[in-house]
Amino acid sequence: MNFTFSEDQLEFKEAVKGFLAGECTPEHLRKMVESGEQFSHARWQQLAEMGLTGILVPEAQGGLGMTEIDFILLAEQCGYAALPEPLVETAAIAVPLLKAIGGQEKTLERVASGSLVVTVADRRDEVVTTPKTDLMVLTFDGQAFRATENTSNFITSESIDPLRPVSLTDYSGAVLMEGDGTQDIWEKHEERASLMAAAGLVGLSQRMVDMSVAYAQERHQFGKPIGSFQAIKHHLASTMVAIEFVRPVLYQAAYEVTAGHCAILHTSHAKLKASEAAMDAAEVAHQVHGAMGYTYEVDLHLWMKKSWVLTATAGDQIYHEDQIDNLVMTGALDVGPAATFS
Amino acid sequence: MDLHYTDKQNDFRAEVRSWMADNVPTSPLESFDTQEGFEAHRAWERKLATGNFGMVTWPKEFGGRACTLIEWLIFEEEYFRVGAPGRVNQNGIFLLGPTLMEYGTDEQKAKFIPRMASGDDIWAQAWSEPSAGSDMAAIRTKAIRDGDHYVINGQKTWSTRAAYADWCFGLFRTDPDSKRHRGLSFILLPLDLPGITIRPIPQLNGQTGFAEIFFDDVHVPVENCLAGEGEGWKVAMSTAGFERGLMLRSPARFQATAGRLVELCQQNEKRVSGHVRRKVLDAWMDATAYTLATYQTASRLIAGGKIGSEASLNKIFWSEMDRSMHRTALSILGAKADLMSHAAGADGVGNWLDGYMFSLAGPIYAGSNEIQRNIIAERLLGLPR
Ligand SMILES: Cc1cc2nc3c(=O)[nH]c(=O)nc-3n(C[C@H](O)[C@H](O)[C@H](O)COP(=O)(O)OP(=O)(O)OC[C@H]3O[C@@H](n4cnc5c(N)ncnc54)[C@H](O)[C@@H]3O)c2cc1C
Repeated sequence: MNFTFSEDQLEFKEAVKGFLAGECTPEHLRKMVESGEQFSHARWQQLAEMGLTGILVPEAQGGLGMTEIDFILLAEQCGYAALPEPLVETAAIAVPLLKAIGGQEKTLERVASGSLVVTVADRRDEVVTTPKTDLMVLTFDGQAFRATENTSNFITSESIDPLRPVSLTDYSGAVLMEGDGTQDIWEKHEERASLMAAAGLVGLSQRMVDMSVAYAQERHQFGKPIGSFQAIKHHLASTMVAIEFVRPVLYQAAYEVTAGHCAILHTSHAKLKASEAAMDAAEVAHQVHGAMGYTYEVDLHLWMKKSWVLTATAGDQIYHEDQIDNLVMTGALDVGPAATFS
Repeated sequence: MDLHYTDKQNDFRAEVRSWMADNVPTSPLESFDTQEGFEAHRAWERKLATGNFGMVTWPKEFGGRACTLIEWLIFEEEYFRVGAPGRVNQNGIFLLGPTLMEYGTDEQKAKFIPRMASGDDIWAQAWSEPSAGSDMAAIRTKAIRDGDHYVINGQKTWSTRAAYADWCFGLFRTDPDSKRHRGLSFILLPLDLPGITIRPIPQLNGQTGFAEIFFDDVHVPVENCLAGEGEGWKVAMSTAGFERGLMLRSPARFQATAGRLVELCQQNEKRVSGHVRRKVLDAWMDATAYTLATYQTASRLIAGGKIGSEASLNKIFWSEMDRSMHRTALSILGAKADLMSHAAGADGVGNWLDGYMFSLAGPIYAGSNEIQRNIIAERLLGLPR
């Protein structure tokens, strides 16, 4: 029993954090919004060169052959930076699904090299808020489709998050997978999608707290920094408590997903609590920023909006509450002490 | 990361489980806030000691088993799984014990730890005073050096277990001219010394959980001072670190409460609203999160880390979770919730009301949650004072 990350995992996280701090700055995000851009090809190439698009791609296909637990801290950092490109969606959600479907070596190679972006539509969400990318894998009624702009009908939609391309689709295309085993592969995929969204939300929440702390040190009222007022301190402290108690749940979920166990209880728990922490963090951050938070003048709104979108997708709060209810309330699960690790 | 127990850890769990099955009293002991209940709990502590289960993390020479913190968590899980008695010895084993191991001389360790482990000495904490609550640095009770003794005068209050305990430890002002954190010393003393008067204070549930301690020229040998005169604040902060940080409330306690709450909800399935059901799920989720967080901290400490701001995060989380779980139980019980557990018609009410009353104290003792939020904001987030 050792519930810590390895030195390597922590160093990788620091490297990615440092990279994003330099290459995915709020200034750059603002420029993208102003110019209506939603994807930086230059940054995607850099991410690919760092090996990030191929972290979970097998070494035989040019990837690093790593696992979800190696990615989870990086997914958090993508949220922290509000990275617009769907790195998590491609590298940590689509790649393992393609691996499970099998026979997708060529596609995986292209993902690792950075020449292909893949995302997966989530059947749990009533509205498909999947970023439109080069190739999409969609599911419907137990079949998985491979859909591209040539094979399927995409209607561009618009989300409140200006840096998130969304489209509607009619779920058609070349069938990738059907029949026996499909359901199981898809359920595992959904657990992974919930997990990674939860990680993003934890990162977003942490950044909103950090932004608020910085703002509260700068902004003066009554002759003092507003951060010296206890009401402000306590709002932010409570948010930190919420975030810090999502993290271990998230990491256990990542561990269970990596181990290939049924992880729905853990991933739904992580996603539900990460969503609630992020919604709270956004409200608190908004309050701390005063009227500034209600504008485009400060960067907060980009993080808030991404939090809303991630909260509502990869299974919304009602979906995840139901999953937990089904296991905890039905007697299916030992709920007392000594049952934490299966 | 490896979230599997080792064979050794599984064997340890099996050993604890079987020992508990053979030894845990079949019916609950009377509350330790009564004289008889206190002695019954002391007898239970003695029994635990015979199995070397008093404090499993302690070195063998002090009656422990040199277990890791992970094994301590396993022990606690098995302990709460069978609803074993509350630890009347908690102040000693969880707080003073680790402090003595860190700061005590060999003589002090030999004198105090074995008797603590065996349940022969039950300890009370004496920090708070009428005008030093949250502001502990405002302590006034004086311990003035006179040859090889300190002479103590003043008053402590809210001292849990003091009505029946054997010894107490706390902070006293050894330098009468000092201010605030300076000039305080950490002193250990028996509660039956001449000049000590103990006045029990009834708590919300009517029992004498804590007491005032009055000191009138009480003589205490200087060797009862821990870590040197004037070093008291530093030592007290490390004790407070254990209290808030890890030991005071082990996660299994809340998992047991959450488990009982899920059961209560199932039994009342028909009348429970979606809102209440969600609160019950929160109980399970939060108890799980607290458990995982504790395993994380334990792993970090085993790897050589130190307990830091998670102490304050933990204190807020468990105390507010506990209050919320009990309040949810009361809302499920409805009008019956307010019946005393021994009263007519109270079948099945159990001790939720008592638990709720005690949970109200959680956000106050061991450093109030407001103080903890200040600490998080200033030390973890770096906001200005
Ligand atoms: C069940 C129980 C057991 C206890 N056991 C012991 C024991 O064994 N030994 C012992 O020494 N003491 C014990 N205590 C006392 C406990 O440590 C104190 O109650 C605690 O430190 C708070 O002090 P106070 O009660 O004087 O409240 P106050 O300090 O008067 O606080 C009252 C309110 O004001 C708030 N407040 C105070 N200062 C600030 C600030 N700077 N910023 C924001 N809010 C503030 C507090 O958070 C609280 O809400 C126990 C208390 C209880 C309830």
